[in-house]
Amino acid sequence: MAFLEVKNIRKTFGETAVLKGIDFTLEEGEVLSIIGSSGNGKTTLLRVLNFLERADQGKVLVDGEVIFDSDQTMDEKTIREKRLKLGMVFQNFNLFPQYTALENVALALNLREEEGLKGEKLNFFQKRAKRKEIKEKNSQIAMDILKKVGLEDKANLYPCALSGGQQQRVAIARAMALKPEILCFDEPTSALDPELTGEVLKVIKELKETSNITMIIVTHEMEFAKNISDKVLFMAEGKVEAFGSPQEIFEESNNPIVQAFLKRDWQGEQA
Amino acid sequence: MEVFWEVSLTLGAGFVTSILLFILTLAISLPLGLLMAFCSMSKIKPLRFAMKTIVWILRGTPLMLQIFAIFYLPGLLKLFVWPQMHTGWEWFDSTISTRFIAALVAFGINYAAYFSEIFRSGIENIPKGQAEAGQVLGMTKNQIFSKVIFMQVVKNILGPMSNEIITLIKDTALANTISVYELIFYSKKYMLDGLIWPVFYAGAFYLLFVGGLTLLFGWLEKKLSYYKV
Ligand SMILES: Nc1ncnc2c1ncn2[C@@H]1O[C@H](COP(=O)(O)OP(=O)(O)OP(=O)(O)O)[C@@H](O)[C@H]1O
Ligand SMILES: [Mg+2]
Repeated sequence: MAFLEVKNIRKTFGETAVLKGIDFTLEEGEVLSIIGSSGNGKTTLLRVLNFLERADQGKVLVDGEVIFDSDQTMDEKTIREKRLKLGMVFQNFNLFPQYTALENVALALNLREEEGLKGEKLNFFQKRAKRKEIKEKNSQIAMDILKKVGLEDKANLYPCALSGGQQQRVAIARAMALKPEILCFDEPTSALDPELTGEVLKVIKELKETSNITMIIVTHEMEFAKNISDKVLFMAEGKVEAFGSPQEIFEESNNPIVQAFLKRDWQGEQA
Repeated sequence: MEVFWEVSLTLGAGFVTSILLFILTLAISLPLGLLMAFCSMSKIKPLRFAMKTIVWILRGTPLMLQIFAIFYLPGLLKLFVWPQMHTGWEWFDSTISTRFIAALVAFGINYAAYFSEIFRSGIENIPKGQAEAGQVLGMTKNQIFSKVIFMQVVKNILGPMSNEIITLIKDTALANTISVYELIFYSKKYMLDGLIWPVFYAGAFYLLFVGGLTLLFGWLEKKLSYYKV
């Protein structure tokens, strides 16, 4: 049994079938790149995995546990628990502008722990003291994670004072803070100026080297995908057109659709 | 000089009523407006439609007409009469009259409609990605609204909100049409007695108050400028 099992995911928006039965598996600690041309449903797949869209059909299992099953309805609380197995880094960072880098990373941790306080019988002052304790502890945790993405000196800056690359690194730290088992990236560098993509890709690479986290990365950076991935999934028209090691997809594939895409992409990079 | 003091005291008392109406109207219309904003963005179609219609009527007819409707219609239709305060405190009872209550209800509802539109566009202008980022971090809907969206909305709507609030203090003058004892009511009384200048003097009260509000909103804007969207 694989660590992540995605089974027959289908998703239709109105009349358009965007995902037409996606199946794949991934082992723990593996990095999967999802490639394919625009409008093929890559983002939609990540959004389904992260409960931002509900698939019409299909199943997702992490470590043998069903986290999504189209035959079951889950209440909001269950979804909140299950979705934390996954983390998501968005194309446009989506940092919270009113919080500093550190607060962005610590916010969700604080909220989760403060929620736990509600059950305890504490008076106002005890609660306040507990909250302060929680905040201080999580600030330390957030700081440690910001160090990992090389931004400890920017911890107290607001997103508007950070470059796009730095913002995306904060977003990665924010997702990591909740210790997801699988971290998803939706084109993490495509909103960045070309000279800023390097620092973000480097952080992702370091993440792979220093932790055992499983990653799913939707990307148009073919060189990067080739280097970092254990598996590559090529999507075309809502289906898995090809799946294999980088070697198998980039070097040895004789699938004409894959070849056409890679050739065009290669030419695109030259132009 | 004695006349000036007397007029000052009378107008001052009237202005206290104006400010009371202003503050209580805000206390009603801000939360009610937020609630109406949520209704007008609801997934339930009839609710959304009903709210849009209500907002259309409230913004599409003169406030003065609405004051008349609220004050006179319940009696005319024999539905109920507006309650009268009996605290034994003469000033309070004559100020917080049935008329005051009716005016307050009219202002509260009318301003809630304007505020709801400001809230709605303020909320809808927050990029969808903000709520989604909160969702994938496991936040509840309430947490997302209170910790992520709300402060951004406040910042976004501060400008239109301050315009509307400044208009409100001047609109309280309309309450004199149903004889609420507010500032313009008293200055009109002097005018009928042949004393013209108090009505211009009354203008100075509004001017001073609006000056204070302008400073307050300027300060708030500065406080919220520590970040940009
Ligand atoms: N909420 C939605 N409502 C309707 N159609 C949608 C919605 N979201 C996505 N689509 C459609 O689904 C298709 C796939 O979109 P998706 O964003 O998943 O593609 P993608 O592979 O990520 O493309 P890109 O490389 O440009 O990011 C597109 O045709 C898009 O218009
Ligand atoms: Mg996409």
